[in-house]
Amino acid sequence: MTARRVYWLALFVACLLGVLSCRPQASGLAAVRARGELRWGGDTQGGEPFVFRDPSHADTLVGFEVELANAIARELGVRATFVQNDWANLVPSLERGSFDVALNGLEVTPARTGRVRFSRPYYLYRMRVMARVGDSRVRANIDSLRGLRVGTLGNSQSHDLLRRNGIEAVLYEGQEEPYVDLERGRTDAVLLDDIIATRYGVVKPSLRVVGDLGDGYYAAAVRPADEDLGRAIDESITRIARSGELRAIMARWQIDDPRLEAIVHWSDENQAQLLRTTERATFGRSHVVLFAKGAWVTVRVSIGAMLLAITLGMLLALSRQYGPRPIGVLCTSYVELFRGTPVLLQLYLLYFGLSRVVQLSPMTAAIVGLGLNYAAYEAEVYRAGLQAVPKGQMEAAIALGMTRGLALRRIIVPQAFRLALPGVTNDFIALLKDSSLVSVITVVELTKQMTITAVDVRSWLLPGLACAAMYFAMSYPLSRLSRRLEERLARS
Amino acid sequence: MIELDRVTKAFGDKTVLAGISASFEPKSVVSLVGPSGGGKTTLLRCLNGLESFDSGTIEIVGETIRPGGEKANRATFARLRGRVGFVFQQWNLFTHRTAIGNIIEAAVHVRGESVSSATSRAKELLAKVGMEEHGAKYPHELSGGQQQRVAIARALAMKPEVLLMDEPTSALDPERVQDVTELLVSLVREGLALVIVSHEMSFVRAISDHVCVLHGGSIVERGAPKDVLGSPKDPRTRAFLGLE
Ligand SMILES: Nc1ncnc2c1ncn2[C@@H]1O[C@H](COP(=O)(O)OP(=O)(O)OP(=O)(O)O)[C@@H](O)[C@H]1O
Ligand SMILES: [Mg+2]
Repeated sequence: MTARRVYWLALFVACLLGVLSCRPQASGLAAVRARGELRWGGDTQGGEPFVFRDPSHADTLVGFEVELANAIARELGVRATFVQNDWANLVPSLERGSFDVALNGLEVTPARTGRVRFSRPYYLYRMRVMARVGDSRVRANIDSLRGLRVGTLGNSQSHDLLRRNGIEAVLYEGQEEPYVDLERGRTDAVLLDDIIATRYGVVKPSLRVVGDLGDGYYAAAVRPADEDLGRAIDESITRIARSGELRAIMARWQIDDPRLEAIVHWSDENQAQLLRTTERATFGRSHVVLFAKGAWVTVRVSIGAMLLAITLGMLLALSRQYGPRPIGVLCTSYVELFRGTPVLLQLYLLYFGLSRVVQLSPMTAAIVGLGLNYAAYEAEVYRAGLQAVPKGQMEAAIALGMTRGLALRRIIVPQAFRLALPGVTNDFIALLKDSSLVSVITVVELTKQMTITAVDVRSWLLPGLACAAMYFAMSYPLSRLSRRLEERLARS
Repeated sequence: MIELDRVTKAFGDKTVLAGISASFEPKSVVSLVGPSGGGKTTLLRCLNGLESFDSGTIEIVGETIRPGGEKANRATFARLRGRVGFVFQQWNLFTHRTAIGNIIEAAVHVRGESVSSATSRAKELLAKVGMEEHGAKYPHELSGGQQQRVAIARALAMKPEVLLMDEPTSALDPERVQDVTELLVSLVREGLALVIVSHEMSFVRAISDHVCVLHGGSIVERGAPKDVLGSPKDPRTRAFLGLE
C-alpha cells in the first residue's frame, strides 16, 4: 500500500469511529416530562395485532401496543409519539437515541438483557410450533425438529432456541412469509410466538398447530442510563395491569389468556428471575467462522448471479444490436423494466410472488433474481462495448467469407467483451455488495450474519468493522483488477 | 475475368456510380484512379459485395453479382468471398488476434482447415511478405507497413484469384512504397490478379497493366498506363493529373 492509500484508509476508519461513537445526551424521565412526550419506537411492518395502520384510516395507528403506549404515557402525564423503526434495529436505534423506549414485541432474551434496561413484562407468549397438516414428523418437542428446516424470525427467542439446539433455522424478515413458505413446502415447520402463529399461521387451512415449546415475555426497553424512566414505566405497567386495563386491552385484540394473570401479579422476584441470565457473548473466533461462512454464501451468490448476468446481458445486447426489430424492442423493454424497478421488489416477486408457479430454493432465487437484474446493466455495458468495436472489423470478417453470426462470435463479441471488461468488473463489485439484499428471501449471507451477530454480542462496532473488512477483502482485488484492465485497454 | 455492365449506385439522391461498363483481362493489374469522391472505393467494394449497387451486373471470377446486396446474392457471396480478397485502406486487422491468429482465423473457421496446417501455411505466408519474425505480435505492436503485410497475408490465406486493394500506399512512408510494390509484383507473377485504388501515380505507373480514370461516377478514360497517364486525352484526366 502506498502512503496515500494508508492515509485515506485511516481517515475512513476515523470517520467511521466518530459516527459510531457519537451519542446524544441522555434523555431520562426528566427529559420526557420536560418535552411532554414519550417517543416510542416500533415497526408498523410487524403488523397486526402489534402496531399497524388502520386499514380504514391509513393515517391512524392501531394495535395493542399502541393502546399500551398511550396508557403508559398517560400514567407518566405526557403524550405518546410513535417513531417508525426497522424491527431488527430497534435496540441499536434505542441506543443511539432515536426514541425513549422500544415497545414492539421485544422479547426478553439473554442477549438483549445485558444491553438494554427491560421493564417488567407486559405480555407472556408461547413459542408455538406449526407444521403442515399430515406431516407427522413434527411434534411438540425440540428434538423432533432436528434435521428439519424450521422457519422463524431472525434474532427472536425462537431463533435463539433453535440455534442453541443446533437446528437449521430459516430466517425471515416478515411475519407472513414463514407460513407461506411452510405451506409451499420450502420449510418443514415454523417456530414463532403464538400471537404471530394465530394471526398468520392458523388462518391457513393446510397448516396445523403442533404445540408449544416454552414461554417468553415481551417487555419495553429503555437505555440503561435512563434507569429512572425504566422505573417509572415499570410502575405504570403495574398500575395498568392491576387495574384490569392491561387484560382489557389484550381482550380487545383477542390475545387475552388466563395465563396473563402471571403478568398482572408480577413481583420483584419474578423480575429478578427473568433478568437473571444475561449472555455476555463477545465477538470472537466462532463469529469469525460464521462470518467466513456468510462470506462464502456472498461469494457463491455473487459469482452465480454474475455468470448469469454476463451471459444473458450479452444475449440482450446482441439481440438489440443485430436481432430483428420485434426482438430488439422486447430486449429493450427487458432492460428498462429491470433497471427501472428495485431489485428488492424483484427478489420478493420471484421468491414469494411466483411461489405458486415455480418453487425456487432461496439460493436459486437469489442467484436468478440478482442475475436477471444485473443482466439489464450488463446489457448496457456490452452495448457500449459493441458500439465501440470499429465497423471495419465486421467488414474484414465478411470480406474473408465469414457469416455475420460467425463474425459476431469470433471477432466482434470477444473485442466488445474486452472493451466492456472494466465495466463488468465494476458491476461485479456492486453486485458483491447488493447481494446483501437476498437476506429478505432467507439466504443468510455476510451482512445478515453480521446483523445477527451484532445483536448477539450487543455491539455493532466490531462485527460491523469485521464485516466491512471482509467485503473490502473481496472487492479491493477486483477494483485493482478493473484498473489494471483499463490500463491495458488504454495501451492497446 | 471482371466484367461490369451498366452498374449504378446512389447514396440517397447522390449518384456515386453512373452506369459503369468495363471489362478487364484475366490476371491483370487494374488501377482505379481519379479525383476524390469519384467513386473508386465504392466501385471496389461492390466487386466483393461489401457495398450493394442499384442496377447492372458485375461478373467476377465466373460469378455474377446482382443488385440487392447481401440478400439477393447470399449463395454467390459465399462462393465468391474466398476467391476475391480485400485489403482495406486501414487494414482492419483483428485487434484481439496476433498476426498468425489473423491469418488463420478464416482458414480455420471458414475453410475448415486444421489449426496446425493453417498455422504452418500462415508462417509461409508471413515469410513471403517478409514478416516471419512478427507472427506472435498483436496489431498494435506492428507499424503501419507491417500491418499492411499481415493484412495481405491474411487475404492470401484464402487463396484468392483476385485481390482488391484500397489505397495500398496511402499510409506508408515513401521507402515502404517500394517494398510493397515489389511484393505485389511478385504476387502478380505467381498468377494473382489485382484491382487497386490509388492516388500514387508513380506506383500506378509501375504496377498497372490497365488504368481507369473515374470521375463523378463514370469511367472517363481507360487504357495502358503510359497512354492514360502519359498522354491523356480527356480534359478531366488532364485536370486530375495536373497537366493543365
Ligand atoms: N456510406 C456512404 N453514405 C453516403 N455517401 C457515401 C458513402 N460512402 C461514400 N459516399 C459518397 O460517395 C461518393 C464516392 O465515394 P468514394 O469513397 O467511392 O470516393 P473515392 O473515389 O474513393 O474518394 P477518395 O479518393 O476520397 O477515397 C463520395 O461523394 C462520398 O461522399
Ligand atoms: Mg476512397
